[in-house]
Amino acid sequence: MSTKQSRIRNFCIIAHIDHGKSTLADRLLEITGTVAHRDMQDQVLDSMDLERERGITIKSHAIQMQYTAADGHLYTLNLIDTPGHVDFTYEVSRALKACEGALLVIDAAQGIEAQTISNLFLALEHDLEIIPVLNKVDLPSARPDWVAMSVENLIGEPAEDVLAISAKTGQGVDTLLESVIRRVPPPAANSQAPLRALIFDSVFNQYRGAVAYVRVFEGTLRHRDEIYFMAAERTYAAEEIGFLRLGMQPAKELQAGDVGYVIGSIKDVRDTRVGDTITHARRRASEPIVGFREVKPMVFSGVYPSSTEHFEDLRASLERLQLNDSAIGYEPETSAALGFGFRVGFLGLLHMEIVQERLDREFDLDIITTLPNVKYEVVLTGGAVKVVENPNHVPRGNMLDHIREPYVKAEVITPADYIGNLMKLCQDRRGEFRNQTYLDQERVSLEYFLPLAEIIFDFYDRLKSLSRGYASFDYEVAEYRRSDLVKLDILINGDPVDALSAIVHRSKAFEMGRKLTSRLKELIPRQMFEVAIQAAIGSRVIARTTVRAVRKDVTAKCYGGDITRKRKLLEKQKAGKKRMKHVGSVEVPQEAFLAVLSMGQ
Amino acid sequence: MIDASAGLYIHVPFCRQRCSYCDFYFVTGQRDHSAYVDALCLELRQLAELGFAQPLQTIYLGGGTPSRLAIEDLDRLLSAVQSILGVAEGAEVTMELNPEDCSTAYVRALGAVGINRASLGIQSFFDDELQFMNRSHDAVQAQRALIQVAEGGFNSFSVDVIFGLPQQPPERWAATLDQLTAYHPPHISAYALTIEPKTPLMRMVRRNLVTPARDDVVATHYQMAIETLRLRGWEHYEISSFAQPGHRAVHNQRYLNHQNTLGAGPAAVSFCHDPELGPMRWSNVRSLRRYLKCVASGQSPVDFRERLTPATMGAERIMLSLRTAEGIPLDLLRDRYGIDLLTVSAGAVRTMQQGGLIACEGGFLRLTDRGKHLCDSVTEQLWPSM
Ligand SMILES: Nc1nc2c(ncn2[C@@H]2O[C@H](COP(=O)(O)OP(=O)(O)OP(=O)(O)O)[C@@H](O)[C@H]2O)c(=O)[nH]1
Ligand code: SF4
Ligand SMILES: [Mg+2]
Repeated sequence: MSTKQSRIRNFCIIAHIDHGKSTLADRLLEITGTVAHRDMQDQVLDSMDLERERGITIKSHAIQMQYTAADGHLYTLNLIDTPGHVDFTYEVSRALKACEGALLVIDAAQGIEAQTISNLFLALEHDLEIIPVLNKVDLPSARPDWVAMSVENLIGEPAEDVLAISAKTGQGVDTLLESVIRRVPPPAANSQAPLRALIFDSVFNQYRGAVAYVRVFEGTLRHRDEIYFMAAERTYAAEEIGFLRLGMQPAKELQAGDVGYVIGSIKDVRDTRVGDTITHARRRASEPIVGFREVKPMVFSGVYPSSTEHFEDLRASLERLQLNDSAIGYEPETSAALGFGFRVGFLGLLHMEIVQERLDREFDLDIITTLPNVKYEVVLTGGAVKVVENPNHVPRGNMLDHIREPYVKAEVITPADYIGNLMKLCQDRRGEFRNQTYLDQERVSLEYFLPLAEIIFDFYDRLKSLSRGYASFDYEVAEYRRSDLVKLDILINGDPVDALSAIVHRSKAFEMGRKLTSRLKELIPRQMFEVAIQAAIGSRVIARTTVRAVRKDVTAKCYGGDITRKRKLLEKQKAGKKRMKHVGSVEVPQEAFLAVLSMGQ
Repeated sequence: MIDASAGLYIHVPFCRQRCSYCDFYFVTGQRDHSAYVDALCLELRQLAELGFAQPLQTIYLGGGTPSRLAIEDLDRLLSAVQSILGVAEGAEVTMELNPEDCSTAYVRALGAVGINRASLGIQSFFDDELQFMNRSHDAVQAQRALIQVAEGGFNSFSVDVIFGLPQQPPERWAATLDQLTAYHPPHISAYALTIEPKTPLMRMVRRNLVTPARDDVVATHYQMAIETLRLRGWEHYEISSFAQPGHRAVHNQRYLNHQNTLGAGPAAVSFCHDPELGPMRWSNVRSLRRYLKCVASGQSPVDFRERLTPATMGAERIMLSLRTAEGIPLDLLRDRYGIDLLTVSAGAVRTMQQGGLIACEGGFLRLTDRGKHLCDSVTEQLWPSM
């Protein structure tokens, strides 16, 4: 190992949401002088507008720091800050892949929570050196000794060795940095071997195109090298390579153990795939690095441009977005009510919300999204199984034998006081109780099997409000199970509105049907003819409302002077209706779709 | 061929008090009426210089309240019209009257100055309704004026009534129709009460002092008017107008047919086919003071002008003709404005035909009785997308 390599430390910061990862990163950047004092702001790595507004990390952020340690040597530290929300777990596992160590941050006031545990297990799977650290000790409510004990129970780190810091005040952060140098092993790497660099992230830059973030495992990548993407099977020139400082800093070479970026002569953004391995075109590595488990979208929804002419714009935007966010998947689909659009797969509801907002902001697109649903397995009468991501693809009538839905294994961690509330919530959501364990005297872990469909809606919010914010929750998809599921259709004057169809559990169909129809009744303006709004399962109507017809709409007087005014009034009305969607001959305002579609959320 | 004849509207912007639903332009209080007539005469000269076809086929004195003018002022005004613009033989000369201004002598004298058609604003035969509308007359005055006008020696006369008042029971409206038809007015204008912006009525609604009648109640009243009057011999020839044979209002139809019609007085609107610019509509300032100033200094009182494109003309024609019993002349619409309605709006036509709102026959598309209730929606559906 070269001296240079022995002075590299690649590590990431992982934690439950809001435990202070990004704030800790701020302090590290400050101490190492990576960000000048005047450029410093809170959670400086959360560079997306959305991250700053919501105060959460959505994407992992990699940054390189230089640090002269107590031993007098200059070290290169590659830090990756990760998101804490369960929807973005895949971001964490990618970051882990590029590192040798992980700082497991635990809020000293909140204690261990669900993603503390799930992220810990992820890091263990990757065989990383884990440094637990208690954060926010400056808070009056902090109980570092008590939390340190539960950390000891969890990972066996002696409680008295667990570092206690305040990312806010900076207290203890120097010591933490020294322990990173001491405990995180330098990358074991061979710079002479054939090149193997793993793309662990990629971003789309408006001016530069696709930028791949890589961790070089073996070999050396030099500027202008001819490189080969092993999965995409494409050859390009490495037009620019470099390190990730607060901006991109070009360099001549990236060696084994380094983390940096590569900009290739990449024309097609789809070729820069996260998880792919870059090698040299001439001297190829024999095996790619085992990439990431492919992230599978779990929640699906139709995404349509508000006005049909923006379909191609939407396609281009999704393509670019996917480069930043390989977790989304999309396929074109059509809806009678909404026109041409895409069925887009998301990791969860937060992810869906964020994609929507990014489409709106970064790509300036007005979109309508349909009610989200999970992926179902439809078992046909012959026994054949069909996977369905769109409720309208459920076959009708006697072709259908039954439907299976995904269940998750969920872990709820809560103070014992709220066990009753939370068990009731899980039961309402068709949960199956599995296990209950005390983490310590106060905190309990509940294990449930729950239908995924029941947690993608407001489950998280309910959980938080039923536990005064103290409970946390994590899940992983476990299995498909047969359920008594039905397809609920909404019909307007007898025409089914495909965009509003949903697959629901029979026990909830009536309630849902009633809610949807009565909301629509409020939102569909009265028209020339009566409008019947029905909710139906197959041919059986389970809920019905009507929008009375307008009985009178006629200008009494129309004199000379009134003509221009009257015409303009009608013109305005007519223009307003242009934005309406037509279901048969009924005009449904876009807002009605939006309101109904956002009802569940 | 575009008809080159012209009509004239004269606005008389004086009222005793403000009716609660009114959004016309008028002023109240003591005014120098004869100075106003002088100003009108000056404007008539400006209009004459425009060179639109004369003599006039129709004249209409509207308001405001033209019956605020003394007979001498009316005489002077109509003589000026005659000498400046010329009036065709047998032209319809209408004047609006308010009941409180009527006396046997006044009404009789109108014929002598050239008024041959009266339009009487009764609105209701019930004191509580008249008070609600803040009319400046009562039920007794309304009855008396009606008799005076009926015996006034006019070629024809019309009576205005309003229905669809808040909490007006159907029996009330039926009684109004009964009383009205007992006098056999040759022409009836029956209007649904409309809550216009910036009126006292609108303010009352905003402050929850008044709850407007529900649209289905108003629809029932309207239907009652249509059926009752038709049964008793009045033809429903325009959305709000009913006439005995031979008594349709000629002047008002000029607007519906896009025929040249000049307007004089503040807020008055004119429409004319200019030989070079094509169809034009313009209107005068909505201020008596500014109007008087303009005219006195020889300036034009016009403050809004629009030139109507063929598409706009076509859209207006659909809107206006739909109000008439004959309906939309499909050939004319196609030949003159290039709109082949049955093709460009085929879907809407089909839906509304099936729904019983419109009928197509003999080259015309017209509203059915059901459709008349929804005239505006039908118009908007028929309009080709812009
Ligand atoms: N009092 C106190 N507050 C802290 C400390 N560290 C972080 N915070 C606050 O905790 C909140 C969350 O901090 P972040 O750094 O955004 O947390 P995060 O773990 O990066 O959150 P996600 O990336 O969304 O998972 C912010 O309001 C911080 O100001 C600390 O040491 N003391
Ligand atoms: S009299 Fe006629 S113009 Fe005058 S306020 Fe009443 S409705 Fe309006
Ligand atoms: Mg963060």
